[in-house]
Amino acid sequence: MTFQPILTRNYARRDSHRLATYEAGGGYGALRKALARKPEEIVEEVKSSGLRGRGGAGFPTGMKWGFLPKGLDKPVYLCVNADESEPGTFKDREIMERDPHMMIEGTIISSYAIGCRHAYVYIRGEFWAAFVRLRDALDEAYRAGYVGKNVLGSGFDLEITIHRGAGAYICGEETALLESLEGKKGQPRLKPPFPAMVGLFGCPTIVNNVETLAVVPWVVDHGAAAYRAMGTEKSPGTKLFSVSGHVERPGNYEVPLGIPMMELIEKHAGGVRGGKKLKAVIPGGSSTPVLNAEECARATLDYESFASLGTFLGSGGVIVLDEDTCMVWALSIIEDFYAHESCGQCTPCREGTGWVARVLRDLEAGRGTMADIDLLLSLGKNMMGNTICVFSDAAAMPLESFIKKFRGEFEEHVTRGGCPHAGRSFLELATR
Amino acid sequence: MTPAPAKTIKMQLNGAEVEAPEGQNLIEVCRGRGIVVPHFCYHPGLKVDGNCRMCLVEIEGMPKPQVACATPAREGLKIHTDTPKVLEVRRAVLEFLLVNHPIDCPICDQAGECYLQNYYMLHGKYESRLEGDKVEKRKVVDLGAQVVLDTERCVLCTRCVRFFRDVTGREELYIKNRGDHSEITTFPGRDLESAYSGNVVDICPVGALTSKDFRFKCRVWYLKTVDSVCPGCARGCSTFVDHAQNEIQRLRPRHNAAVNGWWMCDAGRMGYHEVRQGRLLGGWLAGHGEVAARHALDETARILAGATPADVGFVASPDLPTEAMFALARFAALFGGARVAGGSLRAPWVEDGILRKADRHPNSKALEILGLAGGLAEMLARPPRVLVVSEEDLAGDGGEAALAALARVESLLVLSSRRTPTVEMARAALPIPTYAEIDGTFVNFAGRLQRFHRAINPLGEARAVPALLAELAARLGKEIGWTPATATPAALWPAIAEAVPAFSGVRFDAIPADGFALDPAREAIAR
Repeated sequence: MTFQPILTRNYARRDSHRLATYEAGGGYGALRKALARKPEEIVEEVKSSGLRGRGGAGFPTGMKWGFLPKGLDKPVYLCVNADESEPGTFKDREIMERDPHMMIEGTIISSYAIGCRHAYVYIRGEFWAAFVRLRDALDEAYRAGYVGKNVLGSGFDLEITIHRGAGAYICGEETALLESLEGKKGQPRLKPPFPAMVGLFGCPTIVNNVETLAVVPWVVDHGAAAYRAMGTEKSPGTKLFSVSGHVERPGNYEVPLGIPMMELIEKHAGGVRGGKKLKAVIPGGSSTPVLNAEECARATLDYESFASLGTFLGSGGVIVLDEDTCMVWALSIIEDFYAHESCGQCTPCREGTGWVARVLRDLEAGRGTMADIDLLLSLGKNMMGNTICVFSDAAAMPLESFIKKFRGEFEEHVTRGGCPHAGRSFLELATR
Repeated sequence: MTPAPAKTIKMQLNGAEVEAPEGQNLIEVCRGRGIVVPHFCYHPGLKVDGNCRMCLVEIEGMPKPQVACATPAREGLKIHTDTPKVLEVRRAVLEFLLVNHPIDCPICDQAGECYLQNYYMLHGKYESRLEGDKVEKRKVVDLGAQVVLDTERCVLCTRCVRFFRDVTGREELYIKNRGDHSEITTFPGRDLESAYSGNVVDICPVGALTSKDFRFKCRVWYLKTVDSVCPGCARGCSTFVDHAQNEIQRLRPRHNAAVNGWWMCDAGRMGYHEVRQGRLLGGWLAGHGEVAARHALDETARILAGATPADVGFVASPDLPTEAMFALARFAALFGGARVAGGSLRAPWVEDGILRKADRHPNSKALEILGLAGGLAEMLARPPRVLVVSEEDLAGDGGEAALAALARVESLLVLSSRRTPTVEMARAALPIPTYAEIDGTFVNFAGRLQRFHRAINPLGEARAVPALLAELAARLGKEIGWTPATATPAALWPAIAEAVPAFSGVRFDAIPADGFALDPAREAIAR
């Protein structure tokens, strides 16, 4: 089957965010179909579609839903993770800004499937425009009877509450999100228990990413087989990739999984900017290990190919770095981010991220030593795998991959006593 | 009180098969086998948080090390606490904890009982890899009456945060900021207001929370420690008395699951100051004031020698140790027919639902068991010619009515540790020691018999009540059953156990550290 866009199908329409536009394109048809079926059938449909979570971990969505305990006398909650904060990722924001009803319909259908009567959307606080679009769309959906008491006369009740976060990257981690939603400081919880057993307000909870839920109506409408007809065996369907950095046309692109990464960069994003050579790509958001140009040439956009290259598809944030990029500087920016965003709960992460960022700033400024390079690798190793959540790993992975693949640049900073690319600020590079 | 015993499971610890209750956390399983799994955030009295990552151990079949504190024991679990991987992770976590730590041990009160220091000596000892600046944070932050905070020394284990959340139920601390700028703080504009704040000093594993009272007073390695019992109320919290140079330096709660858990209140903690305050160090004689104890003893003996049984009354205090009460009862019996009352005129406290009881006396229950409780009002309504008051400050606590009653007593004789208004009204008064200066027992409100140990020498000329009364009995030519030299609790207890059904079988030297519950049935017989 040839590629057909799922997530971006309405983007080009005028007033794509309005209910009327969405309905004109067949919107909420999937909801009607879903309500006519048993909830278990919807779960089965999503399971057999092979849809994998688009928030970063890539966990099969249907299987996640299957972890909910049966016959527990407690409400079930669905939380929509709209706290998109991974540097390099901006796909969920665009969904909410340009086609919020797609996500809302997905939320309703998924709630119906898992037995949720009250869903929460946890939206990143900085997403004001997306919030306004989503809020207005939700109002439209309530008025049209898609949400609220007795949805479309089916007897199914659903409330959806939008909650704005206050600007912490960690609140995208699902248990930190739940803590924050409960009014506490957003810090990841010890697991087990997992949210499917003990989640929001102590009740069974599913947390799904915006893009994941936005796909659900299409899957219900067209069937799992149609979804599986795109993409690869283990990575079925299409996915949004946010391409940023040194390309001619940065932006979100929906492509079937499995196409060569260079096709995304060259065909869709217009290639490396100004005819420069490609140096590296951070393929799935800032936390994923970097790929050098040779690896980029081999990479295809699917979970398996990225795993074989020792990296992750992640959230689909493809950051392209051209030949002029200082890798020490780039890493320093990334690690500053993690030092700023560590929740501070676990020792290795709290202290490690800050320490790494300081050493990198010194290296970039020419104050580093050769020993610092090995120190960084050692700190990365000590930060990996020893904490409550994977934030620490997320900070350690780029560290290790940058140094291993571009060690020469780090050493050059020491021998030169400064940055060979010095004099160019981040803003200069970004706006050139 | 104790939950139903959990199923016993078999698991492997460092290759050896061990049995443990199912669900017990691995730190405790290891502790029970003499294996210390280092930890900062875990505390058995608080809910598990798992943030410090110091207790990571390897579990066969798990790819990553797991925190022992949050891993329950289960059948077939195979854990390792001493593999190269575990030791490496421990060292790494320690190094992270010390990156921004000021390492100011020479001026830190916690030095000597600091987890960071101890673990560094056991698991660290590496060359510092830190160059450059540390994160600077607030120091010497005044948190109210009990506690001073140094946020640079803090390891952010949140034990103190969880103490208020889990124990007092009113949150007073939290962590502000994120990452390595995280800081413990009270809510804006607030001090620690809890009457249990001092406990956070005990549970702070490092020098972040220190005691205002104890700061800079004594290096902890000079301290000697005895097991004791707080005399502040009828709860009778188990305590440690830390002392040096015949001076109590501080009190700390001693774990006792049946009495106080891991905690004590601030009033009890500060109560040790009373050991030194307002003491009657020698004797007292009307018209002379403070005199050498022997003069007061002579006068007391003279008055009692001239009294008939109908003339004499005794007041026993619920503050006295059991042995002193027993001795007083025996002494009173030497004056067959003398009236004996027991109790206090002190206004009660308000119970707080945590530890503090309304009854401010540590040994009211023993007074009951010995049959000495009650009768105080009657005694004061119809005072005898000669009244012997032990430890109670009737004049100070009882107001006008008590003063009027005491004024009608011809010869007021007092045994007291403090120079109270009652002492100052007395014909003669004799100094006795406080609980900190002797061995003895208290029975708490729930009927738990606990032993306390002598921490410091008796102040001034203070003599324990049994010895004092033996001396008086001898002067009067009466036989009380022991001599001043044999008036030790160990020597008295066989007689106490024989005479009092509730105490039968008790051997003083065999009382366990956490005491034991007296048989309520036998207690009833005694009454």
